[in-house]
Amino acid sequence: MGTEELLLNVVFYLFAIGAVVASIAVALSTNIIRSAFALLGVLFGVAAMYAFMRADFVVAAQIIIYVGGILVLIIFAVMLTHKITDVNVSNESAPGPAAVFAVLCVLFALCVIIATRTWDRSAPAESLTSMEKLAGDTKPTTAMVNVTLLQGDGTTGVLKGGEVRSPFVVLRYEVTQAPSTAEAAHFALECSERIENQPDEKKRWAPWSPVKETTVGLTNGLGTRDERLSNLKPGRYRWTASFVGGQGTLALAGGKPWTIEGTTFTVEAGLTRPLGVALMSRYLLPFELISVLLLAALVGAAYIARKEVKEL
Amino acid sequence: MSTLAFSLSDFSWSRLVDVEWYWAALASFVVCAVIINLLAVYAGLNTLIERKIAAAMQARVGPWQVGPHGWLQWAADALKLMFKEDIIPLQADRMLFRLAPFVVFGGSFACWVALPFMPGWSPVTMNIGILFVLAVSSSVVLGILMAGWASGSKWALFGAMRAAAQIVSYEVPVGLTILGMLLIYGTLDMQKISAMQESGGVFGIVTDTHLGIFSWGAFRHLPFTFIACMTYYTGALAETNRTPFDIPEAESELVAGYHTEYSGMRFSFFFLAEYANMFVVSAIATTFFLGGWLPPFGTFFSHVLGIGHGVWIMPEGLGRMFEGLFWFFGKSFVLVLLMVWLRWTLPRYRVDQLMDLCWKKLTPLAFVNLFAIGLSEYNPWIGLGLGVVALGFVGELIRREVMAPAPVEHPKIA
Repeated sequence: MGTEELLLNVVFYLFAIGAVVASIAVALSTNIIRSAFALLGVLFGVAAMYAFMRADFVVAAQIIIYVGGILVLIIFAVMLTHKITDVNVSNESAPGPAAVFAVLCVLFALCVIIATRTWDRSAPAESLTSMEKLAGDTKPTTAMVNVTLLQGDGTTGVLKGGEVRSPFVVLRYEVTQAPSTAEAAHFALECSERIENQPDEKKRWAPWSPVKETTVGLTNGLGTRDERLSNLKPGRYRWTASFVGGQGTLALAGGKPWTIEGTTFTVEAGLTRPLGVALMSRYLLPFELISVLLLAALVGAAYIARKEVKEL
Repeated sequence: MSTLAFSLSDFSWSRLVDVEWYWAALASFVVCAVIINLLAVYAGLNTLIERKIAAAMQARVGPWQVGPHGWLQWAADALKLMFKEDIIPLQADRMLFRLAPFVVFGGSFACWVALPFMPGWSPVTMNIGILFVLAVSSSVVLGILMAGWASGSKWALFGAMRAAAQIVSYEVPVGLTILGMLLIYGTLDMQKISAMQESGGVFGIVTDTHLGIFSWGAFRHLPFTFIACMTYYTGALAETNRTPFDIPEAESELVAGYHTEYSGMRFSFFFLAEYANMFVVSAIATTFFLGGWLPPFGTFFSHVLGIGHGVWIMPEGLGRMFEGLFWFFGKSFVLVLLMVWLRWTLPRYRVDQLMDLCWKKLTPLAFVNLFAIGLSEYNPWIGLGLGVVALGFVGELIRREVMAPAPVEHPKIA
């Protein structure tokens, strides 16, 4: 484990421990206001976990909704409740057997999920399958190519006179399994002309110029290497890839994040767009069902809060 | 390669400038140190400028004793605040009382790292830019609530409740106007948003010509984006608790609002946060509506009109960055000074008037505006038609106002 990795792990566990400690404080604090404020720590800790999962949009949404909305609402409710601090909120009675049983069930379910699920921290399923399909198309690989979708820093270049300056993309690849054949593991990615502008990048605001051909090849042996692709502009590129023998991970990262889409890949700006597309297509029904649930909760709250009209 | 290690560095400099992690860490540290000092000095100078402007508007001289014409007063104030006793009231919840100023300050300071200060460079480049700013600034509300509650004083609590209610309410019109502008830009990245205002034109004219000021966001779909600009600025005034929306710290009613019980350095953190927030909202307005770091003169001015030929085209490389810095800060400071001007011009709203303005006027306006911007973006001709209708509507309102007989006031004498 390198120093950088160690440091990042330390940072990760600091956030994780912080979140756990804060949640314990929420549960155990006898002062309900302090509990509510400790929730702030929990929510920020969870947001940090999302950040470690590269889900930047989810981080922002988490903080906006839970810290800016829900938590403020909770604190308001607590403050407006008459003499709430005088109430002893701690449970006098020990948790009943039913509660213990329920909690154990949930814990068991969580453990099962954690243990059985393959935690693919890298790629969304779509890009993986399309990559596999492509690998089959283009030929002679039996090895699975694991495409890691990494999200980059957004724009690093500057728009000026129709060209982006200093954008670069690091193609990081890792060969994890020795090639079965005598020949070395080989992955080649060739980006030729740009097909079209990025969908959300309207042409009129983004007068990009076509990109030069870039070819990256990797050869021989295990390990991780970085190749630098320079002079790439956002857009869709035609590409060809071949992977011969071995097994490895290919990650495109750096200036721009990438999505593999059939025979073209699109330079995406972060997770916001894929998330929006997923919510509005594949997960539309659950999404709408949840909103119905929230509506029901809202109606219920309004019903409870309304004043009783006295019958005359 | 650890996915974890790689993922965190996505947020850091090491990917951007392609250096070792310790250089990236050092760079982050230096940038944070520079920004935090910049912020402190800026806030100090801003207090002084505010007092000077107030004095000028009220025919006084203002601070005069420290330094030439009193121009070092801010440093003296800062020193005094640092050495003041840190008083914690007996009734206070000591832990939360101590924590609150830092939550408030942290929330407003964190916004600064996402601002597009110059072309191609922000302290942290992230593609969720504006969303990040909106997110972290929400901890300001919590800090204020924390301060008000922990002070154990009813004035502080009242102030905090008012502040929180106000900020949460005004986030609605502010968010809606920003949403409308995002329809035009199609990105959350504040660098890209700035860059996109280089070309294009009024009424959604599609062109690659750099029209300078006419390409800016506020003039994109003319009546509506400008209305969005004004709505945003009004909402931003309320979110920063500035006059005429400063009811959370209304001196005549609440002593000083949520920071009544604070003294010394902790008090000054609230102060710093307020001024930092003023700059942040002004910077967002600059980025979304006033072209960010772009100069107001495009190639259109130099090539077609022959104004400032070769002078107003941004230079290449480092020069471009520094010119961008100049314009960004210049525009933002103008908006900050506008806030100061408004403070000494307008009287304070009442609580009910404030909520009335937000929920009954600004929010519906922002909603209608959002739809109008969406339609204009769909088809500029629809936008033009809607704009004419809107202007006619406003004209009719003004005509009624002018034509109506002046209401005769009969003051009731109790």
